[in-house]
Amino acid sequence: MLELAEEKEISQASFAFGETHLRFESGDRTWLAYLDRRYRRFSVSPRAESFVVRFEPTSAPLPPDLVTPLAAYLEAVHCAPAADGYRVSTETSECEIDMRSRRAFLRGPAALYPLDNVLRHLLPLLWDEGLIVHSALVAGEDGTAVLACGPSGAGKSTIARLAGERALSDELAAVRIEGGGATSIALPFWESRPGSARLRAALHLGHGPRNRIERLRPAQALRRLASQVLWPVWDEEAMARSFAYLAELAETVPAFDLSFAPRGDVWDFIDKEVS
Amino acid sequence: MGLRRGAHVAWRRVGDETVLIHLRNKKIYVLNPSGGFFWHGLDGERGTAQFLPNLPIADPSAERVPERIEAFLRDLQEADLVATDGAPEERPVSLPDYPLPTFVPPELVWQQELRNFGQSCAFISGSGPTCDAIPTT
Repeated sequence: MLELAEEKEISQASFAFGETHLRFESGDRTWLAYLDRRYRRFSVSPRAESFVVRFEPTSAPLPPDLVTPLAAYLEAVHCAPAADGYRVSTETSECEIDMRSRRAFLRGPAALYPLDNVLRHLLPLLWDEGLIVHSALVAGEDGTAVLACGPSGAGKSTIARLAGERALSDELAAVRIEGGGATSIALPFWESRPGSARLRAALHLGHGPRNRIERLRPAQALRRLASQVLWPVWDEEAMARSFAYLAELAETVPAFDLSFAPRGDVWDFIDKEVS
Repeated sequence: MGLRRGAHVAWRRVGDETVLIHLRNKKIYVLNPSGGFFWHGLDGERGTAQFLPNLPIADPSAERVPERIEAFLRDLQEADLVATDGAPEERPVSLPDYPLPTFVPPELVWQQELRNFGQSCAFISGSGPTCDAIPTT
């Protein structure tokens, strides 16, 4: 049961995370303004079926090395099952997620990083039609798109920047498996804009002195993808479902290792090699 | 009694390999094609002796085949992917054809512990410096 410390004037803002709508509520308008700065392009009208995240700022100071309230900040995250949901906690924040009432109550410093911790647990639980993948998503002129996956530093942001207006996301994408293929939907993060397209390929990024691409076998593709999925690790049923989606994605969408030099011609190269 | 596949393990064939996920410890495993053949046959009834007649054993090291199968089954047990207790499956599976022209030792060829946040800078758990991916807006 979620309890609110006090009932004061609450403002709200709603954003689409793929087909999942989240409504954020808080008495802290500054925090909601931070949300708006990051997620503005994904703003939607409130819906009754939205999952609600209520935020209450604590008096704890912001971490001294937090560059801005909107920046990422790394903390150890603990998650444990709780009645009807989960409790996600860090050194500076705490969140109760109630899956039955579709509400979460988050307390923490007035910055976005406590929410980031919660979203990485919440989004895979709420998206039961596919996977949430750490990946840039870049649309093509033919109406299809490619995922560009890799750990931090592999080049997701770089390759998204080189795609210019074609880039839909540089960090997170939702993938829906359907009809012998897959569709990917841009999720809001640093630099994203709403959009979705049928996937024509998944690229696994690495840097190199020149552009080089190599087709992967499905089992190789699965190994690469496995570490780029946000796994709902606290829910066995959801894990099994995500695993089945991962296997299907690896089998149905062509995958490639791409090492690239950060030059403007990389997308000409990709479009030629991955048609 | 032979081994049977663990109830807490989900598995799929992907290409010519078989991929398993241990749903409790969140580890993912890949078996080579030969390993996938044996995994398929673990119905609680079969043991090494029951597998042998179905194998295309043609090489000079044939005497080591049972030993290699036993080692593989031991690896599965150590990874908690199979169970020895409980009843065999009600309808034992029929073995597929062995997928290779001659016997190849079955192996667990890859494993990884899954994390809920992958390897992105913005999602790595643990204390450390701030991520360098700072929003520009």
